[in-house]
Amino acid sequence: MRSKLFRIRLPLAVFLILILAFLAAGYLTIHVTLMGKLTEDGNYLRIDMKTIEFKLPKSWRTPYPYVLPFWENETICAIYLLNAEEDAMTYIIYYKTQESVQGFMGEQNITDEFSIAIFEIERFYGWFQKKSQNATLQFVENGTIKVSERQASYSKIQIKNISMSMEENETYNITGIFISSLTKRNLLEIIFYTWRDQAWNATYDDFQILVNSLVVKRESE
Amino acid sequence: MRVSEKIDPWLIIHMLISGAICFGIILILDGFGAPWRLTEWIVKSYGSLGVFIFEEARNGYYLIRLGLIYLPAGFLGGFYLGYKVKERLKVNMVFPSAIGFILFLLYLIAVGYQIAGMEHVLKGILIPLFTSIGGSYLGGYTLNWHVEEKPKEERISLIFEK
Repeated sequence: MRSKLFRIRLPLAVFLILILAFLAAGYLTIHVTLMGKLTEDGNYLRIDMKTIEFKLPKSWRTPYPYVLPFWENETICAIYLLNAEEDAMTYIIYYKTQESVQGFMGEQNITDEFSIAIFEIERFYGWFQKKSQNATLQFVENGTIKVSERQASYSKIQIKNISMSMEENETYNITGIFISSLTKRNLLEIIFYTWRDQAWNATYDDFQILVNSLVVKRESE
Repeated sequence: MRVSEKIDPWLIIHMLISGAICFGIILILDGFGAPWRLTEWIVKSYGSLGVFIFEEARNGYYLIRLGLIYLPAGFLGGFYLGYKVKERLKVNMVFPSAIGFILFLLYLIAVGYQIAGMEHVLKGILIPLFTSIGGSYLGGYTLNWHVEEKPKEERISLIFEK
């Protein structure tokens, strides 16, 4: 057996080679994955789940590197994503079955599609109000759009004067859009919000591309 | 080893120290986040942190973690034990990683990490443990590797010196 490799002791050489091998294998795996998932224009990643597919701006990310940003079981599919600058958040929640939709709506005493968006807004606002009593909710725009060839209701809002902390006087504003699309069988909710004033204009186009590319693949029976 | 033979208490102490070194290095490298910093730098150069949405890319990151955390941790634990202990390396070199990993698991349990399911056991315990043990052997044998020395050349002078 050789005692030395590259003039260093064989075990040390093997150790160094192994580190390089792990790094190279890891890098190649990431590289191949990225190249395989990019769209033709190279600006988006194709996200293809069991029930939902959409184009994700490639710089957007998962909130935590270790945590899978998707959660899916037989009744619900949930996705949460953060933009590259970490100042905008997107949630996609899909209730796949009639029972899960009825359960959610019955529990919250909601009767129609638009009320779902309003319910989520109130829940969202209530969370900030607990931390910051001066926070005020303002409805900017309500309307309907199409998502995955489905009719959907949306409401754009602003929550102003949210305190950074109890001690500080500094405040920030949240701008968001809450979309809900209800059919007889399922419910699709999309929530997008930013917490920096300039972030809305910078990221809303990307969000729109995501929404426009979103396809609900398998409508539940 | 015969049962009747006494176990050297210093051997056990050195094993525990090497295990503590292995555990400490895992904590430092994991806490410092070296693998993530490197991986983040790589994917940021592509402008695509979103790639970690995919399981395959996370597996790539996992490989980088193995190479930058568990292998060096085992290596340094084994290096210490190899420096202190020169006998029965084949058996002894399992201990730095095994002890270090038990300490690491206890730490994980203490901070609330849940090990549930076969994937957790495989990717969270077994593969890092075996990688670390491999590192220990390499560390231990680095100091105890028998290097064949070349015989020194002797010059023979044919000139008769007065």
